[in-house]
Amino acid sequence: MSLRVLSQGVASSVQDLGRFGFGHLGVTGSGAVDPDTSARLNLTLGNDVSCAVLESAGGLRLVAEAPVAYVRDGDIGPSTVEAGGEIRLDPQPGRMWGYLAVRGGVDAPMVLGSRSADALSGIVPLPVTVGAIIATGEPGDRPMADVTLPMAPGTEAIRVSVGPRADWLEDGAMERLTSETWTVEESNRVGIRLGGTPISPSGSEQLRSEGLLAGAIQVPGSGLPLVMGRDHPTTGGYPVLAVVLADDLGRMAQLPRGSRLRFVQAPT
Amino acid sequence: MFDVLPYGDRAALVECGTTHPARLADLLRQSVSWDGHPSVQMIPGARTVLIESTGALDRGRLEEAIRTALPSLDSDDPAEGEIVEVPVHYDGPDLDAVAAEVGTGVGDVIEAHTSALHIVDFCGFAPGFAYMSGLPEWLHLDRLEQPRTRVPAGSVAIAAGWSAVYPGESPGGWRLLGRTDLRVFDPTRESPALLTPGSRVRFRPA
Repeated sequence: MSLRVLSQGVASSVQDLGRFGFGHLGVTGSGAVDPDTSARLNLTLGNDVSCAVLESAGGLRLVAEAPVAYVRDGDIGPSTVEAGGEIRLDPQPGRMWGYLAVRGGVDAPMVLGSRSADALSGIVPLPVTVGAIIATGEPGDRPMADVTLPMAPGTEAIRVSVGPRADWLEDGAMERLTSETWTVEESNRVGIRLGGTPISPSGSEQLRSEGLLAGAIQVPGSGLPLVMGRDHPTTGGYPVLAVVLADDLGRMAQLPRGSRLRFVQAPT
Repeated sequence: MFDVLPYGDRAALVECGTTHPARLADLLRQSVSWDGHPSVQMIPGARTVLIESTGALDRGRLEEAIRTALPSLDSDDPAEGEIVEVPVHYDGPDLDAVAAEVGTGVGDVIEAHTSALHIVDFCGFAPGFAYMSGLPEWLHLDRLEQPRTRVPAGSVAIAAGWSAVYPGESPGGWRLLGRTDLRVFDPTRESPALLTPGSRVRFRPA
């Protein structure tokens, strides 16, 4: 049971929960930008939440080579596409990333414990390119659910806690971050660049490189915050002002370019 | 005592002081109880170790655990281990310019590079890209002003006091002294990276 890629669309890739435990070798976590949505789709199909799904910023088109049970975010429930039938994957309105799960999960080689593609380093177990065959894995025993749960995009402020290097930035930098409205200037799997009033460094010293993780908000020389995404570099030398709470990162990364957002400080 | 800085709800950043980051990472892994954490990884930096958990991480409790488990360390030596030998063809495009800039001959640069015992402080930039300290200070040179858009895989390079081997082809601003035929990173190998934090490394002419 498989699908063939007709059009690869924008930034389409295979993603699961990502790889963990290789950060010290410079291998980043990767995994679905919006793990809640991919988990929900998997559960709807009776899959384990760790099954790989297809993620796309839009325009991914596939044709079935044999019947495949699938569900996308925004669908009211699972469907089956017959051989020769086409599926198109686009993000829902107001969202950056769309998801397509198949019953049994996407069957791609496991590399360092994950099927996820890493846009930064080129670890790509199964490239989603025109002509690629996306095979499905063996379905488990669990039945498919009738209806996907509704998914509220959520417009509330993104929760952050203070990061390790707030003192490398101007006095009150954390207050600035949480009191102003920021704009999503650029967003991809590696990171999200925000627009707003720049935040200045507190001195001229250069920080030595240190570990990064998804959700870390670095302030580079431009003063405009850079939020690390799932394919972030594992180390960096700009001060980390704040860190997005793990549960809010998917929601933030779903904001399309041009969106406005606010941060609210959570206790550490 | 090691300072523990906040890093979100699933991580904390530990300052190494004079302890080698790879050694501190080992000690943290071995000596601190990680019960109650589903999975934890240690990511050494130049002067820090980032501790990342797949679940909630309580910084107060961590600080207490480190205080109890780790005696204060006054040695910065990473654990003794095998020395990884990296054979190098010293024919890099920047070799002559490096020698000219420090005012020696090419032979002296190669001699210094091969006689230094390097230690991997941390990895970053790309999978398997190891930042190795150990160069004599007169070979501490800045990165190129104009980075290259394409550096070939296996390039052996220096910059900012570090030595490194480019695991794959990528852009890069380090000064290229030569190249090695070793594959320093292969995700399909049982040990994907040849040079890991704490590795002791000796370059030698191929």
